Amino acid sequence: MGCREILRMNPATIVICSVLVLAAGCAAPPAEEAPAPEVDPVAENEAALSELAAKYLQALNRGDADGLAVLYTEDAVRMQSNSTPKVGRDAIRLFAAADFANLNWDMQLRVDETEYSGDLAFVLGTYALSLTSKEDPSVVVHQEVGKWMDLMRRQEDGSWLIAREISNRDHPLGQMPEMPEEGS
Amino acid sequence: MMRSTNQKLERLFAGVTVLLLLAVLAAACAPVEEGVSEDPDAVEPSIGDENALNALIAGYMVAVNSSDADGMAALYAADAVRMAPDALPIRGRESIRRNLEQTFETAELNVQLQVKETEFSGELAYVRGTFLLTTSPKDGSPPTESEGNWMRFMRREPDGSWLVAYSLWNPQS
Repeated sequence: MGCREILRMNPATIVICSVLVLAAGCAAPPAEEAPAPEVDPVAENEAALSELAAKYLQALNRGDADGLAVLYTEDAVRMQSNSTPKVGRDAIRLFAAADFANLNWDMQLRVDETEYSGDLAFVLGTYALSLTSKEDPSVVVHQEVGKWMDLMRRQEDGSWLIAREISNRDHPLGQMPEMPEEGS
Repeated sequence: MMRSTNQKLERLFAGVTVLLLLAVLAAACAPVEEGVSEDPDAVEPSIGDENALNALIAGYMVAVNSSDADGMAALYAADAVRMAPDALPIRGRESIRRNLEQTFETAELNVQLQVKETEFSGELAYVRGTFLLTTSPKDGSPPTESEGNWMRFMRREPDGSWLVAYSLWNPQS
């Protein structure tokens, strides 16, 4: 299968949300006139997106095609480099299963920008991927870094799913590069 | 559902030039197009927004195909991020302009864009489509062709115009 493409997803939000949760917890005690607890919609969204990102990374790095596919909307479109768009959850699952068949994935993700509008989140970030052989995990088959854009859609239960996704490499095939610096 | 939406968009795209003229001459009189969003909760775009986005795509093709770096850069938001394949992201309109200038010094490009899908939400819009790109190097080496997919997040500016905020594309083969 050679050097197929990748995906992406959120990691940095995990950190951000952890900080938000901790900060919220720490801020509680000194309240003199305990105001009614306010739900911060941004923090809620961040937490839900972080959960999605964690599941996404877990599915990829465990080679779990089913677990990956359920993170997409039924009508999702996933556009990887050097590949026709995969339309729909089933197509995404089948393609991922083929991707996972012979290779172990080691994916790292970073979220660089997130904007919310209505039930949509417009997100972009970077990724670093290393593929190793299942027969001999010491053999690195392919490495690449790149960038991704995701359109996420909030579901009725407040969870988020990936609706549209596209990514590309930062470098020509086979020329392994460095992970871009924060904010670059 | 998506297929019919796509067909609708393709027809719409075919009429982009006409719509562009209409938008410029009499936006309010442009023919009514149905919203293309599949999300019942999504904000229904105004005719003006649809036309402005289509004009933006049309203007993009014109600028690329005439090697107009200034014209291209003007379609990006000041803090836009342009994410080309095999290259690091380029941030900011001025960086984008300089990068395009360099590109146009070495090659002539011809790009055909087709819009497959659009969704509006508040001040943001999502657009997805396909491209067919012919690159003709000025050193005389033979032209190369590439086709693939693109996705853009657009932002409505305070004056009501739309600009590209984030753009990423990849080759299909």
